[in-house]
Amino acid sequence: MIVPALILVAPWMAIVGIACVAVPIIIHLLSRRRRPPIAWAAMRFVLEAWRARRRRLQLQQLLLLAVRCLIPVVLGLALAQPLLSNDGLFGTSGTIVHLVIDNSMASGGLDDTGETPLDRHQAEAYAVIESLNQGDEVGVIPLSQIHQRHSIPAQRDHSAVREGIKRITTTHGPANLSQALDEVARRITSDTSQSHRVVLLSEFREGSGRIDEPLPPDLFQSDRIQLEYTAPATTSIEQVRIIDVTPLRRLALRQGGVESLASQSLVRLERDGEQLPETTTTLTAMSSSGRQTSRQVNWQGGVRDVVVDFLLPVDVEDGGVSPIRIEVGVAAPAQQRHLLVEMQDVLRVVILDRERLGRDQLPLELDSANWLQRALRPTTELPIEIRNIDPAAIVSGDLLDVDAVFLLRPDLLQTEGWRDIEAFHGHGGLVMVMPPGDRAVHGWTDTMIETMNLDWSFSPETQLLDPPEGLVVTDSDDSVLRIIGAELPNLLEPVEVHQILEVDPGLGGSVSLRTDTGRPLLVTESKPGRGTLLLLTTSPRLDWTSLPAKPLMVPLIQESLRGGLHLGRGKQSIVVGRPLLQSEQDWTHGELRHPDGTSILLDDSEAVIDRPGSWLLIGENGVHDGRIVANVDPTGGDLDRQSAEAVEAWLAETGSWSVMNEQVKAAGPGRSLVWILLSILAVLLVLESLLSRWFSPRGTDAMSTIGYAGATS
Amino acid sequence: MSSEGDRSSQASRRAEAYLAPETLSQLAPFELRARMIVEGVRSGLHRSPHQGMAVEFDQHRGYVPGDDLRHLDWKVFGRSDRLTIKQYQQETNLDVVLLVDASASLRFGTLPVKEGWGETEASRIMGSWTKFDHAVATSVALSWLALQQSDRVGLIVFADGIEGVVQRASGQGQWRRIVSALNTRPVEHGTNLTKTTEQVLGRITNRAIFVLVSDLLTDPEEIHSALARFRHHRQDVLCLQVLDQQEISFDFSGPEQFQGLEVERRLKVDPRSIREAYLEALGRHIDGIGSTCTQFGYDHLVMNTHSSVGPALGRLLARRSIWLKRHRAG
Repeated sequence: MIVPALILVAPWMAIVGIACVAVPIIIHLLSRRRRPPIAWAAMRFVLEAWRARRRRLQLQQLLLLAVRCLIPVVLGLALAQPLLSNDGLFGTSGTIVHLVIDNSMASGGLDDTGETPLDRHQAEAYAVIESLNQGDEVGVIPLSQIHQRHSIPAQRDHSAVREGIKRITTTHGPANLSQALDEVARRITSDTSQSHRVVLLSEFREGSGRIDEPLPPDLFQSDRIQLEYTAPATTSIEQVRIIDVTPLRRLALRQGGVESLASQSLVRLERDGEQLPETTTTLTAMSSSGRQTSRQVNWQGGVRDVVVDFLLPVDVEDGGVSPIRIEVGVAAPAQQRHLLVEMQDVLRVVILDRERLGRDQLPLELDSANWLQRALRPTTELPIEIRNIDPAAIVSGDLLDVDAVFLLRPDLLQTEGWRDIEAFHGHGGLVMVMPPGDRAVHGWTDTMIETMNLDWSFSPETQLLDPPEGLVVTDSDDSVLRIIGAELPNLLEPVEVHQILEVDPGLGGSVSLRTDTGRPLLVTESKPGRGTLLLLTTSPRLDWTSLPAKPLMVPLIQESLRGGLHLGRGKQSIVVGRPLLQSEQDWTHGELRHPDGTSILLDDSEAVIDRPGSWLLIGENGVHDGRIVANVDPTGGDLDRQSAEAVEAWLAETGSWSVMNEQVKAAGPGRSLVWILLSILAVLLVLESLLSRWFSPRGTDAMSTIGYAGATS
Repeated sequence: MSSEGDRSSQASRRAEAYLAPETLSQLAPFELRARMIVEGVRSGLHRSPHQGMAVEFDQHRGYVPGDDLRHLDWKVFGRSDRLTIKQYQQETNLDVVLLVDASASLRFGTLPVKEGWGETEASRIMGSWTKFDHAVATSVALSWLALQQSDRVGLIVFADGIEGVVQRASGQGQWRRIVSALNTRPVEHGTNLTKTTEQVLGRITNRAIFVLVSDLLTDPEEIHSALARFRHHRQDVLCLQVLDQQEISFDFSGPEQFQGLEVERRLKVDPRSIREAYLEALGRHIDGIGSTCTQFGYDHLVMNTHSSVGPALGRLLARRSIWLKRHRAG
């Protein structure tokens, strides 16, 4: 119920209070009616006294009656919990309330009370709506906007909004406060004629938005916008989150003695909380076939994050892509990760080198193809098929079903051949280029740069290194040699480089190995799903380098092959809540299907994967076309609390926010007048008491009577 | 005849009831004395201004037409050729005329009637001891006392004029006649003192003590005018103002509706709120009457219906006795 700009939370109490005005009037009337008239002899003195006091008495009676009538009215109004609108007492326009509700991953955890922060936010939202005027509008913007359907435009149908809020559930995505506030600002901009009130309901744990994330500056600067937020959480919650699970090989060979690499992974864990006691957590992983592995992780006191190796339950027998789920703790969204491991029976490699007839045979020390083949297939058991093709004779069909191409004579590759190589590379293939050992001038580099769209730059001539230079390893996470990183120093030590093709890899390439004077030896440029390009700047023949005859050669080539394929294959993983367009996938048609039956059409440009798990990619023809795993952004599940001061300063970037306390929650969009009315009531009660005492005639005992009670004069 | 006898005996019983033993015991030590010298036809305790029949010479004064020629002092006329009248003083009998107000305002009373107090028509109707009852009791007591002193006592009941008269006489039968005449009730209309005074002074030309028993709630100017006329006729007046305790205290607990007994007016008011002003007005009124009486040398006594008749009258008579003795000694 509304009096202009005055909101009554319990209007019926005000009605009762107003109705009670009749009580003193009725009492007054009853007191006048019940007595019969007194026949009075000294009427002239009564009349004289009445005339003398009439005006004063009437004024007193009116004043007293007014005070007595006001008492129930003010009491009723106070019990009705009136709220004064921000428009002031005489404001006439309504208020649009924008409820920004934190439904992110961080608001989904049960606490000691058995309820989630989202439950509390919903209750607070109901309270705010309850306090609104019927003319006020209210809308809802979820802080984690994975479920766009939960966004409710501002409307006067409060019950519909309440129903909408009831349907809000926690998402598996992080909160995006910046986006939510932008949406609020957009809504405010669309209707500037009314007052706006923004209520941000969140516990402001780090998962709900880190205070170092930038917010739109000065977003709400109007005086007609009231900004409130709930006080940040004060309780600490202990939990362990899985930040990342990295298999050493995303692609592995089933046989050949290296399949165990596919089972190895590195798991990065992080602890939330403030105590960080010495404790133990259990890490478990489960394959789709039900195989399970687990390990204990011992936390030292005060340690917040740790990286542990973990043996994954890879389904070697099944082949293909193996989805694995890793869990820690109670398996909240941030405590689960999904990953795919791809197993292959054989790797198919093409070596592009000039085909030599018998008379063209090179001496062994100068036959780079021979050295390469030996490194690629050091034993006959290793399932790697090698095919030699002359660069001048290559056609696109030669690269079908091939995993890697080693280009030993790029100088012989025609432009068309380069295009085929680029296409192969663009589909996730591995291309490893080595300079031709017979050439001192390398004009092919320009063609490669142009075709492969590189920002590299080459020195056109072979550089003779005198004295020969040794090799050093470059510390890089992207290195294809990461797995053998520990052994590399020893392996590099005996290797010398005599000739080299100097290259500047620009911003796109990363250097895994250098000479000890800093010249790049192994350069990698890779994009997930877009293949890997490796450049060995020395030719694998002994007049260029001693590498072919050293122990480093085999692991270098093997890791370049596997590591290159690992990097070049698509990550096959996307982040829950991020639009598919941003996930660097090629899929544009078909659908993604979750094991629980949820389906997402890829044609939808705004399609968002809203839950973690292993999704099947179904092509347009309804055929299984692949698999992808979706994982939550682990930062979204960070339950570390943030200080109230920091949150206040953070929000202050956008406008002048104030903490919504309990009274404000109840008061809604205006200031509560309860205490003011109770004060007025107290004053009225005191006034009534005083006026009653002052205006009421004093008793006979207190007044002197005239002295004629029997006396003479 | 039998009904008349019944009424007479009934009146006697009421009269005796009015003369309660405590009243008589309180009045007995005193004699009714006139402050002013009244003309008496019977020898009594009162000094008579009756010259010519006196035993004690008082003074000479000049003759005025109309004077009794028997009182001419011929010796003085012979010596000085002036007509001089001799005046004497002697103890005379006293004529007491009771002027009892029976106007509507006397119907008011708040004291519940108790057994043995006697009753009038008024008390029977009102169910309480009215001011008229108190006036009757006072008048009966005074008449009894006067008759005991062999004075002549007369009664005039009045309201806006004379309503009833008992001629002056002495003897026990007179007292019963007075009591019987007072066995009435107040009339419905108010008091007209001016008219009443005119009628009374037209009937009684000789000196007497007029005992005015009334609530005197009329216009002060009217009261002043009436008393001035008595004074002009050199009459002694004893003003007994009978008021009810409620009128004097104006003590009420809550709002009331007042209906005027002599004034056609109703008023709803909380008496407590006007009590102070009321008491001031009433006090001014009573004090005004007192001043008027003092001005004319009359006695004024306010009688409370809730108090006994005896003590108040006793104090008044004692005061008059003392005053008279001092006057004589002077």
